[in-house]
Amino acid sequence: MQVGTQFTGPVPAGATQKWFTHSWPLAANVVWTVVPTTIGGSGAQLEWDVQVQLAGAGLLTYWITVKNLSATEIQVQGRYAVLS
Amino acid sequence: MGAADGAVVSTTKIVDHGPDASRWCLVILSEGYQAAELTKFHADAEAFVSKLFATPPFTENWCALNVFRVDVSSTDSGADEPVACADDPSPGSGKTPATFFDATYCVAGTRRLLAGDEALALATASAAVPEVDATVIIVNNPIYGGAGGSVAWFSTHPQASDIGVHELGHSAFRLEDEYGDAMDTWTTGEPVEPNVTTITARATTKWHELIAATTPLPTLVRGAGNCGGPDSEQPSPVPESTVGLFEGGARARCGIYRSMHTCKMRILTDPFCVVCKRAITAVLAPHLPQFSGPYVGTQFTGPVKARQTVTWFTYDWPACWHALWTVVPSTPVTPVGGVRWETRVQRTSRERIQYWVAVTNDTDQDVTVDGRYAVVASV
Repeated sequence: MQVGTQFTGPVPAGATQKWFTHSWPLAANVVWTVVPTTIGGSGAQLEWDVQVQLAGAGLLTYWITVKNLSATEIQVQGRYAVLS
Repeated sequence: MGAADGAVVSTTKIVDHGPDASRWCLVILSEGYQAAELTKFHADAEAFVSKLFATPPFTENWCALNVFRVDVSSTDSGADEPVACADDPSPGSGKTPATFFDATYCVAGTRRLLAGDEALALATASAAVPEVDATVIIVNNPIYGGAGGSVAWFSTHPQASDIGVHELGHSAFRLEDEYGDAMDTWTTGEPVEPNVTTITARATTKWHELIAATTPLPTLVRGAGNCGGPDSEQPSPVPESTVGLFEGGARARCGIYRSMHTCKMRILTDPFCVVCKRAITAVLAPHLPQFSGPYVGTQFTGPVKARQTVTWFTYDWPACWHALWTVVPSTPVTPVGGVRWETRVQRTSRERIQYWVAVTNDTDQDVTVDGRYAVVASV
C-alpha cells in the first residue's frame, strides 16, 4: 500500500481552504484523510470533504476542502492512502 | 571538569512510536543543569520536541521517530564563557562552571559556537539508548549559541529550538550552512553535503532534477567585486518557491550555491528548503512503521431520533494511523431516507488524535446506528 502526505499548510480560524492534486490514475482506489498538526484545546478542530474530477486520459483530480472549526489558525496535513 | 562534575540521573522515552530498533532514535541530553534545574530541562526538551514536530519534513515523518530525554545533572549551572574570543571585541564573563560535558562558548574563536566533550556525549547517549541515531544537547545558558558536529549543541536562548533544529540538520543529516560569513570565495572543490554545490551546469548540478528548464542558472549571484561584503539578504529575482542556484553557502559568500533563496540552514526561522527536506526525508522515511492491518471494528452503537443529529467522540487514536469512519443503521427503516455522517478530528497531542463522528438521521423514524472504523494504513 502506498501512503503519504500530499499537502500541508495553514487554515485560518473559522476558514475553509481547498487543495487540489492532479494526475491520479483512475484505477487507483485512493482515500483521503486530513489531520491537524496543531494541538487543539477542546473540541473538533477540522472537517473535510473530497471532490473528484475525471480530468481526461484516465486521470483524476482530487479537491480536498478543509474547514477549520476552531477559533485559532491550525496547520493541517492532507494524507492519501492508495488501497489498490 | 567533566564527567566527575555531575551524574547521569535517568532516561525517559518522551515520544514512542514503537520498537527502538526500527525507529530513528533521537536522544536529548542536558548540560549545565544542576539537579534542582532538571525540571527546567524537561520543559526545554519539550519545547524543542514541539518545534521539531512543527517543522516539515519532521511533521510528516514524525511516526519514524522515537525521542528520549536523558537527565544529566551538573555540579554548576551554565557553560564556560571565555573572556577573550577572536571574533568578538566585547569580553565574556570568564565563568567556568563545573559541568558534566564541559561545554564552552567561543569554540574555534567564534563566540556563538558552543560545544563540549562530544565523545562523552556520544558515549552517554549510547549507554542510555543503544539504538541512538542522533544526539542533541541542550546547554543551560541563555546566551545565543550552538554547533553541529557529531552531536548537536544549543543553548537556552529564546531562539533555542530553532537553533537546535538547525544544528540537528548538520549533525544528523549532513547539511551545510547556507550562508556566507567566514570566507569571501569557496575554493576547495565540490562539497559532499547535499545542499550546496559548485556545479553550475544545468545537466549535472547536484539537484538538477528539481530545477525548471525556465529557471535561469545561476539564479542569483552576488556580482563581481561583491564577495567581500557582509552576507546581507539580496531580494530574490524569482518567486520564493523557485529551486535554482543561489550564490552563497557553506560560510562562503561566493563560488558556491544553495538551492533556494532561503532555508533553515541559512535563516533559523525559515522553513527547510526543498533539497534539505529531501535529504532529511531520505534518512527518516525508512524508519516509518510498517503496516500490518487493516483493522476494522465497531466503535460505538446508539440511537438517533428522527431528524436529529448525535455526535460521538472517540479518543486516543494513534496519529500515525489512517482511520476511516462509516456509519450504518442497525435497525430497519421503513420511510425513505437514511443516516449520514461527518467526521471531524482534533489533535490532542503530537501522537494522539480524537475523532468526532456526527450522525444525522434524515428519516421520520428513530434508528439505532453502528459507528465503524477501518484503519487502512499507517503513515
